[in-house]
Amino acid sequence: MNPIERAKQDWYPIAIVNDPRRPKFYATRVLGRDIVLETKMDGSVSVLSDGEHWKTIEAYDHIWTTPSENPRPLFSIPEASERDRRFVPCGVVHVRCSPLRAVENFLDIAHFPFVHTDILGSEPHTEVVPYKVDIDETKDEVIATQVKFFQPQAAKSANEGIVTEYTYRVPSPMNAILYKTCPTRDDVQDVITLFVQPLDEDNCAVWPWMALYDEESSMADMVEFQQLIFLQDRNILENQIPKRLPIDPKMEIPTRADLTSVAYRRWLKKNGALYGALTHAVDQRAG
Amino acid sequence: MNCIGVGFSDTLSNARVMRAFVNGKDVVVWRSTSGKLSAWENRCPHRGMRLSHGFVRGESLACMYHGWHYGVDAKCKYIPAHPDLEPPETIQIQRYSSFEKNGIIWVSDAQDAKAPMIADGLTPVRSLNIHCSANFVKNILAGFRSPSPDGDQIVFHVTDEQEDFMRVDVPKIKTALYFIFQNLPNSKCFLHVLAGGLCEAHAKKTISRGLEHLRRTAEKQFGEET
Repeated sequence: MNPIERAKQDWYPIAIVNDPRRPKFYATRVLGRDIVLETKMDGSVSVLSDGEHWKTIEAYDHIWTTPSENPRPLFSIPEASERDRRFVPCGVVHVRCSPLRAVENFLDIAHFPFVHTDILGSEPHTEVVPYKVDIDETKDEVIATQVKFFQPQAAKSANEGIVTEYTYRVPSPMNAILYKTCPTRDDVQDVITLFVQPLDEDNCAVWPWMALYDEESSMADMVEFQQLIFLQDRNILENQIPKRLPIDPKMEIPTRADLTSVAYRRWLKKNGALYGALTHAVDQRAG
Repeated sequence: MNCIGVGFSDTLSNARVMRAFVNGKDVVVWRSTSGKLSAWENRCPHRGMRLSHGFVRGESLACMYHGWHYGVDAKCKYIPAHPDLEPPETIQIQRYSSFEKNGIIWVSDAQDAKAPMIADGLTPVRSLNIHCSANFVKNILAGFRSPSPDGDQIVFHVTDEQEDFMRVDVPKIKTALYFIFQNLPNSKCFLHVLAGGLCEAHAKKTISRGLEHLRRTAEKQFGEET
């Protein structure tokens, strides 16, 4: 199956549910196709692309669509039904990079001290200690566990530096879920996700979403905190060459800290999920 | 092209980093804390990040993404995620030749790069960022006339054209000028101008005005033609 046909089987986020700022007709793009999201008076929505109706669903505070008549089911996040969590859609950040580069960056912790300096990491606490990466065969997901890192301000609710423990799930090629130590409670984990809308192979829109135990911070503060993080990431993502994610292991040099990224790239290859990937070595100096 | 003049030496201080373009190649140019100049392919081999966003630590350039350090030999010296690991010798970046002459930083991507052929003892006059290609500017440069405030004109006569530079005589100011072009992406270029002898403040002003007129004319014509 070619990359676009594989990509067409999935659901993609295009908007936040009940966003009062969205116009009645909202034009955007998915997989290189122009689409229009119409919001009717009663709040119901529909998606049209070249006169063709696309399916929509609402999940995790977002509206998702797919060009497929018979899409794969959207992945599940059990924590989304825990009523005492606060659910925070963080808006959208447009990034001129492959959707797969955006996901890979979300799975990476080694950049925290340099890109999110004094927030998610700080020198000299740069070491990435060994962690575990597996493929969950039943769900066909990449899972990284026991990922530990020192963070000066792990979340809006954190008052001091803590060693944060992360678990990552990659349930579909363009979505990733992160479970991390909750700064205010020992018995639960915060959930932060990255939902990626592939505008095309070289451009994406990322929709971070959180399900947290944080009763103190205002919604605006929590959104602002995540926006700051993603804007810092954007500066990196728009300066990686090539724009598409190289699958050929000769093109980029991984180290032990990049185990999740290595597993992610292999899993994409195995699944033929190569929309936004570069499958053969090219002249990297271009662009 | 042998060497490309990418900027005046004094605009790149010790422990600073800049980006340049050499024959279409994206290049990082940086100076170590002790002042050693290097020019490399502008890409960290770890995750492809442009090194021109990086920072200098002592005698190393560090990538902004994960802080990998590269020494002046372009080999990886330190990977912060694994502080005790000695990075393999094979992790290294493509190097280019760099020279400093006449207060200009020159870079070449040629295998057998030689220092630029330009004469010694020239003095920097100014740099201009121009929104059209170097060739377009060169084409209108020969015989270009610019009005001068005293009613006179200054005229640019191209008297020599080499790979690395153009010599331009301006009768009114009695000193030769040297034009050094660097092509940038998206049909833009950088022009660095040097003067043959001592150039007084008054003469510099006259040249500067002529160069600005050249730039305006080139950009206007380029805009009309494209």
